Amino acid sequence: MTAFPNYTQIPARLSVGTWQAIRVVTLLGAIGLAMALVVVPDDALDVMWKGVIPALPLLWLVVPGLWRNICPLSASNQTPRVLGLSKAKTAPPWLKEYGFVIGAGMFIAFVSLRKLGLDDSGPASALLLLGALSGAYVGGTLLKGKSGWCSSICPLLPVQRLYGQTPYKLVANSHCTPCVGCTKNCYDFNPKVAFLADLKDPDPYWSGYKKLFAAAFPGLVIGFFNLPEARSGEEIAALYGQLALYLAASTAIFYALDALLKVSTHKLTTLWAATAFSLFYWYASAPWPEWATWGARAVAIALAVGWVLRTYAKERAFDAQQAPAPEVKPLADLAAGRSMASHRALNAGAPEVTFEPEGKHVVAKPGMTLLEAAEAGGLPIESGCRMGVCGADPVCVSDGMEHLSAIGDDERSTLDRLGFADNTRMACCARVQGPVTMKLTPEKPAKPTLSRIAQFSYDKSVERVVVLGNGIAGVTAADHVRRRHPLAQIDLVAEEPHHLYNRMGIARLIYGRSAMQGLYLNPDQWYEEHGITPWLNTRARKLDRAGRQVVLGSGEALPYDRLILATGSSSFVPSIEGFGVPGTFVLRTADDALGLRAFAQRHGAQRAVVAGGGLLGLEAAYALHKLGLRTTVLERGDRLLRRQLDARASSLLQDYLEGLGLEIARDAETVALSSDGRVNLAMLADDRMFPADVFLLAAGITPNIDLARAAGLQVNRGVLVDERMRTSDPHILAAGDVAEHAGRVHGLWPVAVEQAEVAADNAAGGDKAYVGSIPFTMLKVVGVELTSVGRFEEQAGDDVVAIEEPGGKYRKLVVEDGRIVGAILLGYSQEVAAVRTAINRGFHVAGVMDSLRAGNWDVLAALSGERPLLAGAPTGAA
Amino acid sequence: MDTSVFFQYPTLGGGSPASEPAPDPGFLPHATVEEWDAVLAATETLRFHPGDTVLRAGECDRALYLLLDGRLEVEGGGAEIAAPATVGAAGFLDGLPRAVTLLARTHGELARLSWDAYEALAARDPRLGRTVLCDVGRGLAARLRAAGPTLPGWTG
Repeated sequence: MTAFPNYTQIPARLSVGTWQAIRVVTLLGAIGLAMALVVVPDDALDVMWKGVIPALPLLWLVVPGLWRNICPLSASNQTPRVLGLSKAKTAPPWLKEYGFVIGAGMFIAFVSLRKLGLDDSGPASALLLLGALSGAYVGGTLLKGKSGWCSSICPLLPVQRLYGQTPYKLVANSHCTPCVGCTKNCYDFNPKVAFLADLKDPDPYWSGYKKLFAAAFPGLVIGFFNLPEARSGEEIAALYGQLALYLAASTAIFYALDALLKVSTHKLTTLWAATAFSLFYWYASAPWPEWATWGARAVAIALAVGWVLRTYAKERAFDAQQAPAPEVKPLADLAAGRSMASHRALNAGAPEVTFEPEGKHVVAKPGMTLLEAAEAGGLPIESGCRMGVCGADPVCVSDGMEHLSAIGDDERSTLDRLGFADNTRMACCARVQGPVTMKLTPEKPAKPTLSRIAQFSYDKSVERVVVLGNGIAGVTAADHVRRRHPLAQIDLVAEEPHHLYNRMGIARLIYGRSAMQGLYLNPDQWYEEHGITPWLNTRARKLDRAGRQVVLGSGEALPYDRLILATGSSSFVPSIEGFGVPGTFVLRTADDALGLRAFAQRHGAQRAVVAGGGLLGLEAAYALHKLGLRTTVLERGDRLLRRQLDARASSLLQDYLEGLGLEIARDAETVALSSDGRVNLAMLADDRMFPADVFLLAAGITPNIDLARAAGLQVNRGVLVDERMRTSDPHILAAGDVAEHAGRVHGLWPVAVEQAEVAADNAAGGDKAYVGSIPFTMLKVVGVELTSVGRFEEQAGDDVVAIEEPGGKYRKLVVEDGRIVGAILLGYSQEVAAVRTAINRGFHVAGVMDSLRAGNWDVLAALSGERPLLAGAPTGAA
Repeated sequence: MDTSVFFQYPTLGGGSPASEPAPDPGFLPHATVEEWDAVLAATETLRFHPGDTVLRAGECDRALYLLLDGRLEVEGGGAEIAAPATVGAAGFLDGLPRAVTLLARTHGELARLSWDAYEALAARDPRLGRTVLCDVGRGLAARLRAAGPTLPGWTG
């Protein structure tokens, strides 16, 4: 057995049940003694003060574990735990710190009370006993384990820890099944180490309390036995004065020796404890017959000497066991030490982002956004487009707003839509440049403020505007009509039962636990505050262009002066035999995602097949992988993300995704699904087959144009619109996925927002033109920082910068006539903002091509003002 | 002097260790500087200050923490953890809520390796990913072995 066995390693000689039976007896005995102290005080006082109490030091020195198991106070303390009545709270910090001091103080107080007549008063002694039993019970009711009494404020504990540190006989703790780790250096957990650990604790206060008590203890014993009893006020004052002198003398000698002798403090506390023990029985046995007195004194001294020798020997074993402590390994000489040192040096000057109320401090890497900082700290934050458009991540900046990057146009527009307080930033846009304190929940303004377009002359003849669709295009259109037209009645009709939600986050519904929580993008009161009437779960059945009204599925009709179509798109479903059987899904709405998750769980799905290697398909595949399904992606073409990536980037991405555990099959066209009541197999045109408990089709989108077509509007793939987003009917406009402008249906959030703003402007009486959008897409799969902007495939005459680095990193710029027209960034999130700005604003880069080719893309940051934070920037953080 | 090795309280709720290992020299002992750099590059750095709640019982936070500097304490008078050490291995592996609350006793620094970051690391360097996982498992096995007799059904 180890030299310092914990209680689980000490053989238990009695069962827990037996110990509990004994405890019932001792507890009842204590209550009986208390009653006897009142009823027959003379006899009971003798039992208590001349029998039980004088026996305790001997018990604590020889076999302290026995007392710890049968102590009636302990039994009372543990009763709530045994009966399941304890609230089991963690002890407050002050109690953990000062429990010992409180117990020691009470011990000295009660000892001194014996000189004032406690020994002679049955009722007072009964009160003391019952008070202690009650206190122990209350402590056990409130706090977990033994932290409410036995291991904190019990007045007997200081002496038990001191005398009980080297038991002649070890008895295993029978209370704590299981241990709940309630106390530091728990005596009941490891009795032979507890006091030593206290003394050698790195906290000088923690060790100081124990040292002080041990130092004063012999003085207390001598004072108690030598000072006369006191009854009058004068006698009591004298008593306490003299007792204080005894304590002071004992303490002073101890500390003097501690300073002068080159021995460990533990040797002195041991000597002082043995002296106190011997003195106690020297005096306590004095009234006994002479043979008994000298016999008791001899036994006490012998026990004390033996105890001292054993305790000293134990200290050597303790120190020897401590010597090879884990910390001594010279990490500085190891790879870990060197790497950690350089890692810490790199972060030494970096600013902190402090999250309230969590109290977490995240060190900001160069160019890190508040969103990335929150994710780095493991804080629960939503994200969507990660470019400030969708509004998924508004946060409150409590302090350090000046240490964040400037607010761009997209972010400003989104902040205006959301209408939070002025200290709000979109976390995905705000780059950290100095210490910042923030909260994840944005604050409401003192009073609602609606953003208005200054000096906009709205058309007063437009009194009613109906918007069909409450996706980002519909809600943005409604919002921007309101910003321009304070009086118009605005109706927002939505087929889905949800308010605007983060459609880019629906893949997380597949593997996340929080369902729609956090996915809604506007504050609860947003619609009411903006004077917009939402019609949720309502289908627009017909457009009555002649009567200028929208007929709803409910039979009601909404008249309009201007109608904005923002009905979005649906998943494109090519002809696949068997698609539609249970287990086959598309992923377009939140309900699609929730339904897929429910199906997978209900049927214990293990294999998933995703048809489509585009953005949605890959994000869905990753979501299914995170749900625990073995997932295969079937891509019809010869590479993944062919609309966003060139061949090299696609190859790197595929390597990474396969490393994550996804299976990728290219040139894989699904033609049929087999089923046995549920889908079970996906079959390809080339006869390959893939087992599938879930089949998800992600083959792109198809605009929802049925209403428009039925109403006679000009349609192609989408509803045809001009540069003012007007359809072939001047009273009807369209925006977002449903609109086809210049032959293109983009299907992208930022484009939808731009088009919706133009449509709203023109609906309200303005004259704004849509100038087109540069496609900008990001892949939201963990570990992939992938952005594609504009035209990424070079043409004849283009300049190309393509750089590949270890770790699957790749970046590429396509430059036409001195301007960047497209880019791919795989593993370079910090450069995204600068590259995007350079493309959108058409910066001339001919003069910096050499720098770009050399990999120094900071020149773009300098051009755009999106300068990344330099590592080691000065900070005011502590 | 660190005496926490004598007070490795065995269980808190569900049978998981009440405290994380004291300095853990066993974590990636044979890794090269480059491998350690790769691991640390996959982490995010958190600072803490005395009294901070560094990990909170009940919190869902699937991450492994490397204590780079400073000392932590298991709330409730449990063991003290000094750098260098790994913290939160069980939650990292099973994704269940944290079993204990860890408080900062000093100023210090943690490197947080989220499960997602680990997956990305392993996707790019499967051998290193396997080594990390094995070492995390080995550390936990050592803790289980130490608490073995108190664990129902423990077979070693």
